[in-house]
Amino acid sequence: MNDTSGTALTRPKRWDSPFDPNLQQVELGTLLRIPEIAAIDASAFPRSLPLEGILRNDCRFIHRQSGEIIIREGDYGSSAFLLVRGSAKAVLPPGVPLEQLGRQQSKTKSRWEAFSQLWKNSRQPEARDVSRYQKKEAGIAMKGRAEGLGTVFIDRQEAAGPNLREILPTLATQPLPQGSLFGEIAALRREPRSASVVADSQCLLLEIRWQGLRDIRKYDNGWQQIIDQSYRRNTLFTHLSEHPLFANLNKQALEKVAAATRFENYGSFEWFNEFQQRGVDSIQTDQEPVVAAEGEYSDGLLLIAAGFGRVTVKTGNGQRTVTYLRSGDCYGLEEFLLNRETGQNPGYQSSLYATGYLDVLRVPGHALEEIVNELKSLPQANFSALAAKPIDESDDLLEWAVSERFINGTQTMLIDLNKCVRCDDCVRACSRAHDGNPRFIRQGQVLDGYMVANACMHCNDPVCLIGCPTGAIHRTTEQGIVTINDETCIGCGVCANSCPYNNIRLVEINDSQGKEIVDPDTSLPITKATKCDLCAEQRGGPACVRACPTNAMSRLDFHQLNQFAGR
Amino acid sequence: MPKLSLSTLVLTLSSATLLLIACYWFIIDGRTLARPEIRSGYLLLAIMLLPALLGVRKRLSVIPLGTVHGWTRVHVVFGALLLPLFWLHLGGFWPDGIYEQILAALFYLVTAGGFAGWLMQKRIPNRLVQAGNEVIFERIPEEIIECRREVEHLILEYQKETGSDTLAKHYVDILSWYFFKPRFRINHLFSGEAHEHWLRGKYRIIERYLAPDEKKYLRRLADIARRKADLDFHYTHQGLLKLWLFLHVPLAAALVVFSMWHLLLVHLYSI
Repeated sequence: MNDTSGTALTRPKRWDSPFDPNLQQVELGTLLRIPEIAAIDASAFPRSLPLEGILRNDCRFIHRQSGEIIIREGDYGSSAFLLVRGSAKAVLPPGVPLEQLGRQQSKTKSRWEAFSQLWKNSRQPEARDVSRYQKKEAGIAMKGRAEGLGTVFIDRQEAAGPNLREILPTLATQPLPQGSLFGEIAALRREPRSASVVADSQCLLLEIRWQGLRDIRKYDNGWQQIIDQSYRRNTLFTHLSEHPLFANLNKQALEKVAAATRFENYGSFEWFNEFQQRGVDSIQTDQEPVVAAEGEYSDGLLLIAAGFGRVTVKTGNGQRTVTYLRSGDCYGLEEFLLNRETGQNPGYQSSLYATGYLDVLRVPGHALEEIVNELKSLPQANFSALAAKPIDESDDLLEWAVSERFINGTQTMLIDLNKCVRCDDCVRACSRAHDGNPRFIRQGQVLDGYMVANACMHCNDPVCLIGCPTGAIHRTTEQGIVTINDETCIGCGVCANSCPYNNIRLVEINDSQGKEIVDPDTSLPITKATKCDLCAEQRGGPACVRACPTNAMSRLDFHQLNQFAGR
Repeated sequence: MPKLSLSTLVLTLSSATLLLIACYWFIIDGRTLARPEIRSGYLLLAIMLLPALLGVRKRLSVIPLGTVHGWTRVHVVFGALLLPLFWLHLGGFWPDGIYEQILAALFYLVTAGGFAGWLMQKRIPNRLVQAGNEVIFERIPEEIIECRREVEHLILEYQKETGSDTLAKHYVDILSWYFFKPRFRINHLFSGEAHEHWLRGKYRIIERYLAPDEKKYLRRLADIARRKADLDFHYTHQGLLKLWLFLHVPLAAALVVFSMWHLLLVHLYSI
């Protein structure tokens, strides 16, 4: 008998971690009696992916009291909700006040507040005003409950402060009757929730995580129609009407385009898991899903709705990345126009790969033909011209930025090491602006004299926001900065674990005397998630950039890389 | 040719204008005054304080006072401007009195240090990029210890796998010196190759006594030594930048204090 080396482990499977491990058989029976679920044709599902398996593993029941928030506007959730019993209300614009959502109203310090930091800031690192948290314990603020990925709500106690139940009648709302499905578009497209939904009475909800929702949509025509109609009604039309290419189109023409548009998605929605576990080597170009292949018959226009795409041209025995596309960009216009001019389909002049995941709106050629004269002429992304450029160092930088997913950042901290004198004034300035502890580390990936430091990049696709149980980490509506509300952060570490770039850190907090704050029940230190907030509260922008004596540091979107290199 | 930004242009033009005004004030207008050195002394002190404010600005990073980069340029331009003003104030290059000579020596040291720092800021970052293996200065001692630990593990593995102690003895007697702390710092300062010559020599003298399977351990050791050389290079150059700041700032502070005392003496005994 051979000596077995290593430890044996059953191969992990999709449903090893059910959404609700305690979902009992009796609850499954209840679940199957829900009319919307009962209407699903279980025979349409493959044997490897039975409906019962999806229901048992990707769903759970949750209860909400009247006045409790079910989903919060602006959150990035990964599940949808089916209202099984009770009623709820979607809050229409202007929405629930920010402080009621557990958000911070971003406020820049006044000149005096900025100046008075010189003596007001604590000398102790990570010092917090404990009275803020004590007030919470008395019942003013919110109690976060981490019930696992997806559920996000804040429960305000009645003892003090405003209650949503009280203010709900003052808000503009739309009732959601029993049987309503909501939150599905945000879950499937990783977009922020477009509105808050508040329980209007005692509610029983079926929460479906996005993987299950995706599969139900795929195999059940009824659900597919509901979700697609909801998408077309609420999102697609808006997306098309906001696209500069269609700016000249009237409503009727736009509706025609919307009706013909197909919604496609490529790649893995949870790309960051693979990225974190296996690194860049696992996601080379040849392993990325192909959206359009060079030389292939070109069919209409591809509008990038979400995610990133890598445009490559075959060069030698490899693929040369000439640019990358993101939400709002389009692909295939060059070919479409060439096709119209010559009457021949030359095929795609380049290839488009999904980098991570990519949501595409495909506007077929015949729909474009009808409106071609009304298309607004845009400065065209001429990929052929980009490919004709001699290969130089900028190619290397671009390949690097795409492979390492730095293109996800909108405020990436880039340091030109040919100018950096390693004085660490940036780190000190950051520390002075943030409780005596810097929010970044001056180290990171280096290529050709450029370093992307370990600082929050304020990503286009902020995966750190998914799963925050209290919504403490959020994107500000005014500036688009990803920030953490220290008062509502419970230090669970979900965001830090999700960040693919390791740019979020948990810190143990101290009182104003520098003594560790501990949980009296466990005697364990209280932790808070911290990260770069672009000095949103400080005047004059990020302290790190202002503190650099040699102008070596910049916060940028990689689309501006050439600008940075040329300064 | 490097691009000239608008701010650089404005700064250069304003400095040149200031220099012209100062020259006019001293050389043309100043001739008519009884004590032109009093006026020039005050102006010199005022312009001297301007570069000194950079240090203050750096400590006030939470207050919106413009970028440190802008302040640094003002610091450099006005620092350079001080030299001709100083000569105008002296009416020559070197004063007579002992105290004035100390003051002048301090001034020349600070100015020379400033120019050296400016040059270092231009040259050293490029050298560090070329060396590769970017590392934070404060972590270098720890990284060196890590290199030494790796080599020692390698040597133990070598002994275990080959049953020989030739390379181990050579390491203990000769090579361990290299891995103990940053070495060849003067040589690294001038981007020399002395450390490579030294290492090659030490490899050569032992290589002939090693069996083929032992030589692969020597090659792995050489890889770690190369990494250690990069660390030494970074330690030397980053250390020089920090040392420069460590000297320039106290000397500049001493210059300001000595200048103030000089001003007081002039008012007490000369006017």
